Amino acid sequence: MVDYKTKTDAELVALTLNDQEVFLYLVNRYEAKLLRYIRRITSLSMECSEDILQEVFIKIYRNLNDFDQGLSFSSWVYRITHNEALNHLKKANNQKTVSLETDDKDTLSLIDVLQAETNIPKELDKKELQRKVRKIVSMLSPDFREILILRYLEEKDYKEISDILKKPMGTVATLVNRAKAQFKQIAEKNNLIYLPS
Amino acid sequence: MILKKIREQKITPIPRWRFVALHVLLFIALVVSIALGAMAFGLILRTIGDVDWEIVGRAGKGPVRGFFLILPYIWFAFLGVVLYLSEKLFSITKTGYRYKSYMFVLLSIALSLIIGSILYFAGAAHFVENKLADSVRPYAKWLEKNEQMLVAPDEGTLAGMIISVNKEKELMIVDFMQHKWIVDISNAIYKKDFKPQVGRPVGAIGEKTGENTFRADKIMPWRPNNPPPIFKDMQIPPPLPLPPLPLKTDGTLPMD
Repeated sequence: MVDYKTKTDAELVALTLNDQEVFLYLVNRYEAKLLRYIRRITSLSMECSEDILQEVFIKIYRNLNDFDQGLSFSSWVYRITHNEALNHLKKANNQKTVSLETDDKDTLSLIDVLQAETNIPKELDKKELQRKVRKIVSMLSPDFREILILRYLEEKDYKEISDILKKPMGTVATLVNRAKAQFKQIAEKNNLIYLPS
Repeated sequence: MILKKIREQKITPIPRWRFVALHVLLFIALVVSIALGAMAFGLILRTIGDVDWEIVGRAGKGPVRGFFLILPYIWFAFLGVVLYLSEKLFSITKTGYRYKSYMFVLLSIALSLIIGSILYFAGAAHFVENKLADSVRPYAKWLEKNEQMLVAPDEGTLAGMIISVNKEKELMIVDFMQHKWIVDISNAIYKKDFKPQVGRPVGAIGEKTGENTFRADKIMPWRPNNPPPIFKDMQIPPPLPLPPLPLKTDGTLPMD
């Protein structure tokens, strides 16, 4: 009896090409992560996000023969998810600034990270800070919002982000820095958070 | 649910050969675009490589202006378009996105320079230009116009084809605008091992002395390695009647 749960992603891909049923193990492995990622970058309802997720998995299945082991499977599926989610947003004409649909855990993670990078005062009320950080992040340009989500919420390293967004690693590093700079700028400009110099 | 949908819609993975074919096509398109860039550069060299810069400077009323006068902008524009396309093609290859655009553009320019130079020195650029001129009439017209820009007798430059030679004292030439000239070469300096010969393209620097007369101070072969296509279409018209040689004081001809 083959224990598919212990197989690597690449092994499961190879097995799926011979037996469709094995694809279920890949779906189970990634559906929660990808659904959360879709919700983070699109801010759509659960129902819409699930529809996108379904399209993503169908696309992954159809393109399995294009999976190149020079890339990690995780980066590859995230790339497909990213493109599919953005295509959906373009069709729905939803590219304007959207409020970031994150749970409190997400916002707290962001705060922890940004607190270290932007000198957000620690004594601010947590709830109030969460509200303000959510507002600031929603005001970031889509590229910067996306990079912060990948870096700090999805916890991807620069190589993975480079593979997902198909940008050079140097560009990814620059985008992360600029995203943080824009965050700081918006925070100060809108008096949302006082950042001591 | 996803598996159910895959079964219901009979979705199957796209066969591997289609992805391989796509990547091969992309690679071929990339190589072709680099080759076109190299050819464009070869044609640029063809235009500016064989020309006499003294003539260019005189015709353009200055070396800098002359240089910009002669530049083949059409090929620079083509090179720019091809570089842009090849950069876009490279960025969609499997690993192309990992490199910054400017690195690939610099590499493409370097490849165009090296391969283009090889094509130029091998004569391939000249061959391609002749073929283009034969098959694309507007391109032939554009080439003609470029050569005609260097015919500026009032500025002291002339270029055309030799139609008769008179004892290395005079030439008759028909310029690129089909005007005939009698060119006094008796005191001219011969540049680049020039040999006056009927049917040869020639350039001259000097002074216009009359409606169809020119005194040459310097004379040189015109694009000796790669004559422009315009020469193929030029008919050698009958020469102008030569003016009579002045008689000596005793009434005899100078050669007697």
